[in-house]
Amino acid sequence: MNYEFDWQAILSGQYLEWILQGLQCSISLMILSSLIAVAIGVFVTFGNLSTNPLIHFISSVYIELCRNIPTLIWLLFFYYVFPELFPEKIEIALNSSTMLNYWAAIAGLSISSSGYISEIIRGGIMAVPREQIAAAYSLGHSKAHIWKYIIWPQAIRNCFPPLVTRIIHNVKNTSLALSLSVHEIMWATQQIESITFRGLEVTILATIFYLTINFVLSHLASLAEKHVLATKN
Amino acid sequence: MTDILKIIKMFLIGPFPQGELGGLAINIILALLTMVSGFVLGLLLVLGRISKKAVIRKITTFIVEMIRALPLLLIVFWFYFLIPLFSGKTLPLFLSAYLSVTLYSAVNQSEIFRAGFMNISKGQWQVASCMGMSYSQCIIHIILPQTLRMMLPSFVGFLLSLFKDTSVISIIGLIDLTQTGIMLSQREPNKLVFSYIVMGGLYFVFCFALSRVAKKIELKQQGCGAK
Repeated sequence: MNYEFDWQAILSGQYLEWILQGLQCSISLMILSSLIAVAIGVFVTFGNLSTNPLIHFISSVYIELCRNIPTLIWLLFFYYVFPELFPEKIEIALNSSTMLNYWAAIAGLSISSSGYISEIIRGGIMAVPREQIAAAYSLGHSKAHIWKYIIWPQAIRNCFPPLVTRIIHNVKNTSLALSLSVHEIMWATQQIESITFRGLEVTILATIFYLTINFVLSHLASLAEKHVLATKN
Repeated sequence: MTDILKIIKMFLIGPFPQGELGGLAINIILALLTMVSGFVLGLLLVLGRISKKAVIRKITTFIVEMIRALPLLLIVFWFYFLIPLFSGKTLPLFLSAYLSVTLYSAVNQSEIFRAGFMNISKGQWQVASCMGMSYSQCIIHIILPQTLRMMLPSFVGFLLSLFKDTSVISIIGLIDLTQTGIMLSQREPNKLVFSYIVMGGLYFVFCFALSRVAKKIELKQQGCGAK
């Protein structure tokens, strides 16, 4: 193996610009899709816990669909099929939009994560002992009061570690947006590789990027667990 | 009607008897193969992680933690673009997909093993060594059987997620279920929605069945524990 590294070639001019743009795009994908996924997840959990059988059924079907179809299929679905489902005028407007692939990636990522997240949150809520809720009712607390002071604080503590795992998974999945040629970091590395044949350098760059992001995220999570969520006895 | 049957056959096995195997069959084969090889490699990794020698422990921990932080797509690219760079010759597509997914499956299964090992009390190791068992005997006869039974739902759950993750290899051009769907929908744009429904439906049926199996095993085990 005698490979000569040439960092100068890829860290200058247009290529550097692609990489920086890719980093920015990747990070915005990660943040937006995770936030939307958590929001949808919480919403669907309420549907799943509802006593109305129809709402319960719809949200269960939604969760199963999210969990059992690969993320990549969701991305491709939102990019290729979703515009097709609208009347022609909207379809043309959607297809001519340059941001379609970016938003399709966000929609696909957040939908595919939201199913898992809602299951995690449901697990956290179900783990709160029923006796506590019954006791709170008999003490005359209102429903909103019980959610705010009894269920949520415990549920958040219960579901925080698996939630972080899932978000890290989602962060890694943003690399799939490459298949829609969203200009994120993997796309940048592939472009530069195909022009300069400096595949090793750019792949190392991407590897370092993902390692850093995951390291920072897991450390933030353990800090949060220690200081913010710790039970104050 | 025969047209639709033909398309569904393409999704299931590709142009198999005439041409190469493709479609869903590739996903299933790849998932099963990498599950098995990842199982063996994952066991080795976890044995390294609980090893008494600090050097081995540190190295395996570093490897596992690093690879776990990478997206599967990036691992696939490492094997697809960079192995040829060093070895001078390109690997066949399926082989490079197999190697990269194996690595991914190994580090994830080693975490499942580790969770199982953690749940087994230290006393069992001590009792085994008191009874004159060697380290390997203890692992084979005492630790592994319990871990496997305890973590069976996790392994089935991981097989499910591995099966879904094999869709990623379509990006490097292997004609799996996803790639078949993309190609068919581009060749016949009027069948776009149909081919995506078939593709999503096939993934859904398989994964849903697997997830039911995992749930059943879990419930059965909980039932045993309660008795």
